Amino acid sequence: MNGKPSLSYAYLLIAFGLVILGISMWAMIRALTAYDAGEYAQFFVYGVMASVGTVLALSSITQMRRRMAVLHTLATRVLSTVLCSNCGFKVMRGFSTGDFVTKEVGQCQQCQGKMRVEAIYAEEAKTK
Amino acid sequence: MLDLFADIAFQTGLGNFGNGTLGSLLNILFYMAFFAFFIFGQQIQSRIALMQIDGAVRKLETMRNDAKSLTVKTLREIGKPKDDPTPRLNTLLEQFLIEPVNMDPAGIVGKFDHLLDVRENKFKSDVARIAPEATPAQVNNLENLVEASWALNYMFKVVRHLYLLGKKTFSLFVIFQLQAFLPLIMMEAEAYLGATKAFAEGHPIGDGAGALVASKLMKDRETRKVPKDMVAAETTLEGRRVIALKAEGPGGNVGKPGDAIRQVLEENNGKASMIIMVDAALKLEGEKTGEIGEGIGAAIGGIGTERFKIEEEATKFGIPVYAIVIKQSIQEAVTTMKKEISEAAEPVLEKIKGLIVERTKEGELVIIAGIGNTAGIAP
Repeated sequence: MNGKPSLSYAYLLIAFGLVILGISMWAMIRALTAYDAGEYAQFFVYGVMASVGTVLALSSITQMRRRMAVLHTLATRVLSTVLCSNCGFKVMRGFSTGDFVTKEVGQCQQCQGKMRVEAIYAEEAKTK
Repeated sequence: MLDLFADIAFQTGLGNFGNGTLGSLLNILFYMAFFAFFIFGQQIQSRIALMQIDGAVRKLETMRNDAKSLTVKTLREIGKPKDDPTPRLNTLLEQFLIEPVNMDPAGIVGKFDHLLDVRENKFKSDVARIAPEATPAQVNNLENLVEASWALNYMFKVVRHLYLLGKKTFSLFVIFQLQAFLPLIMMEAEAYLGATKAFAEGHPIGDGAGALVASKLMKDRETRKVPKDMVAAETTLEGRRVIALKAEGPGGNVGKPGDAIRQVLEENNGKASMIIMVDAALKLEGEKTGEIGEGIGAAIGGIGTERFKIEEEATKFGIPVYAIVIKQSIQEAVTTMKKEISEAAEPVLEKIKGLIVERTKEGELVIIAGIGNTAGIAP
């Protein structure tokens, strides 16, 4: 649960879906060419191949896009905002186990006042 | 494209793929497929739906197993039990609650309240026994973690039951109803999986928005314990005497705000000018997370016992109850608090100030109850 979910697998599957879509487009062109030439059997075979390929590729790409949206929401980092109650000096750092709102976490670097955890929240990781 | 198919239909006749061997085969296949779809269309649709549900059941099982593994790992790390906690955790995950009989509804709230108390006490003491080294706050977080795993286990079992029932009876209504609700069920399951992580780490969750607001009011003030599992602190706001209430943190806990409000009112002979309740509320699709809403009435979720108590006390003493809510989705409510929700606490305080200036006089008593799970939020 601590490791960040990888998106590379999802990107790979989307690329695979795009390749299948490309092949389906090629099959569609072949089907239309066969139809023009009056070769209906070939038209049917390529037509079915193109239709099935397109449906599968589009459904796979849509599914992966949804999965990626979920992965993006999982790829969040949790931050603790630490504030000096005396001078208002603010530090933002990653959440560490044991942190809670109002917890005293030492002295202020600037005025030696009490530093407290003011807020803890999840923030989505910035996309590169 | 339609013109093209129409053209084929007119020129060659549907399913006419020539006279060769391949053509004849294709002709037969075409007609077979046509009649198969015509006669068995519904069954084919049902099979496809069952396949989809089967995938969802497998996914739910994985989620349930992930949550269980995380729970066992956290119990071991924090509680340091001498024995393997898995068998006792399995017993907890299978626990159930029998609701009181509602044929004669008089007094049902008290019965429900009692049953919930017994359930909570048993759950907490069982978790404390599994994790002997855990502090009270950690026991609360572990209890919430076990509850989230329990919810995932329950969801998995119900969906699997309906799936197997649909498969056994081949009832279209069972299959299609389950398929229709599947996206919502999966969203909720993903939310609970997120909740297990939040409770394992001790993060504040979105539902704790009300508790966060109350915590800000209690800052640098002396707090005292009030029933049940709640804390109260007295402060002043715009010249008014304010008693802020919240569940006792920083362990995951919702307390019993109804009991706390009742005690505070009894202590002050019912002389309060206003009760303000701050809670997280489910947003509608399209609404922004962290949006603030104002209304009238007791803003508190759950089974309804606490709301009943608050409404009863407010009516008894004729005190107006105002609600301020911070909107969020069900997923956001049970997972680590989002920035937008955390940042909504300050505007809510401003709204509270506005409300008490408009509706009360200086020196009067105002009760402000921050409702919600106080995981990661003290006091």
